[in-house]
Amino acid sequence: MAYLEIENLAKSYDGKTVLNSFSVSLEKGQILCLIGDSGSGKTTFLRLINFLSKKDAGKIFLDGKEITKEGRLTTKERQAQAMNFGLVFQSFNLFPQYTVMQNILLPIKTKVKKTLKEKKLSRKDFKVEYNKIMEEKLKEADNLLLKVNLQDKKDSFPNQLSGGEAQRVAIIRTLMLDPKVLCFDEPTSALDPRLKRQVASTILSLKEQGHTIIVVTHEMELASAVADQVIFLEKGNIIEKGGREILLNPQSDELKNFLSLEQCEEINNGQTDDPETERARGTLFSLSQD
Amino acid sequence: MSISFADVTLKLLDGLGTTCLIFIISWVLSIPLGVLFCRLSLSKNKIISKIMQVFIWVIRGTPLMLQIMVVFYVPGLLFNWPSLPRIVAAIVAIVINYSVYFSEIFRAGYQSISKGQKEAGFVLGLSRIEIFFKVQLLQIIKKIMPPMTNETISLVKDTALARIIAVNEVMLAADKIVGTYAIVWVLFYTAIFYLVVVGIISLLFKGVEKKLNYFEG
Repeated sequence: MAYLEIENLAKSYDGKTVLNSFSVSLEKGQILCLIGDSGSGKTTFLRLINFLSKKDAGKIFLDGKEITKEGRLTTKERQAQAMNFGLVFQSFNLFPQYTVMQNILLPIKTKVKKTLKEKKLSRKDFKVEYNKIMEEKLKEADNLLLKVNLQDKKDSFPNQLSGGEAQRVAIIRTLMLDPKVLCFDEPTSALDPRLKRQVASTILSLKEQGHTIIVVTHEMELASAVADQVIFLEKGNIIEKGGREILLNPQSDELKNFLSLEQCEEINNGQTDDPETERARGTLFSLSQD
Repeated sequence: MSISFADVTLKLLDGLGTTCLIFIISWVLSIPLGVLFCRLSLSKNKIISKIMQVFIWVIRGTPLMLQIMVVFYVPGLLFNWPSLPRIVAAIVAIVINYSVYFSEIFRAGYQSISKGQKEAGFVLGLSRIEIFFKVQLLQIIKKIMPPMTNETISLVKDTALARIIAVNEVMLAADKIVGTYAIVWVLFYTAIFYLVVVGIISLLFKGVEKKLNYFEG
């Protein structure tokens, strides 16, 4: 069984199918790119695996265990399962009233508290242990911010960040929770071309660290630069899937239509050692752990 | 017959004390009740939300003066219950009325926060309570400050309606002086009392708004 196995995931709203019998296998450390037009079901898929929407049918296996179960899940159960996945939202969704560092530490504080509560420590031990762990986490966050050249921004508020900076903060905030699968929803949609290449670089460096990643995008350049597997969706159905080569040699008419000639050319450039893309492949900045 | 400036001031200050008392108690009680009404009107239970809709329609659709009269007279006339003390009846009616207005402001504030904030909280492992208190609340407060300032100022002025059941607030005190001594300047002098109170409130709310300007919500 692959690291992430999704079987026949389905969802419909008001009788209209938005995701139909979606199945995929992903090995640890691989990158899956979902491409397709708006309304093709890409974001629905991300919402389902992050437990933000309830599935109608289907199973999800992660690291050999089924993480979905039949029947109603409580919010807590749903959330516990959702924590296996980390989601970097399209609009980043940083909390505006907190600084960069506070944004990064808020969820980790909750996680640490929950973990320690399960240990049923005395109040004093709890405090000592909590402070010790948070000190380490603070150092870890500092380190990550340094690696993405944002250390001087740790006391800035989200409205003082550029789109690229906000995205890197959102990635760090998610990474700190150590999810098994990292998901990106349209990571390049709000960024200029230079920053788009930085995103590709970031995703590739995360892969180098062994992260399993799912990227939802309609940017062919990004998909061709990072994907190990590509799935093309249309109206909730998988039309074509395979390696990134399907972007160069699409078999279905739907994918051929989707990939305009111009986009195909961009992909070719990406595949022929375009210096910009190569730079994006890991030299701009790195999130690699020590 | 004449009255000195000092006596007018003392009589108006006496009325102002009652005005401030009604205002402060009403404002403090209207906030939690407004939160409760807001929660009920956002309830997923359709019966509860429908009842709230009707209740809000009735309270917003009828004059506060009428509501004060209903609270003061109806229990005695209809059920032969002892009437509430006048000031208490006025406060009860004002609290009910303003908690409805506040609840609508809270609801608008809550609904204006992007769904993404709640979803981010969820995927980051925050509990529902943490999402509300640590993520949404401050953003809501920032959003509702301008309408809350307006409503609070209206509340100060609406305390004057308590005179309909003879609560001796500042307007009734002024009216008595004008009626007895036939002097008009007292009315303008009374306006200054209101302007001072409203001015202080405006400054306080502006201060809070300014404090919250450090982030864009």
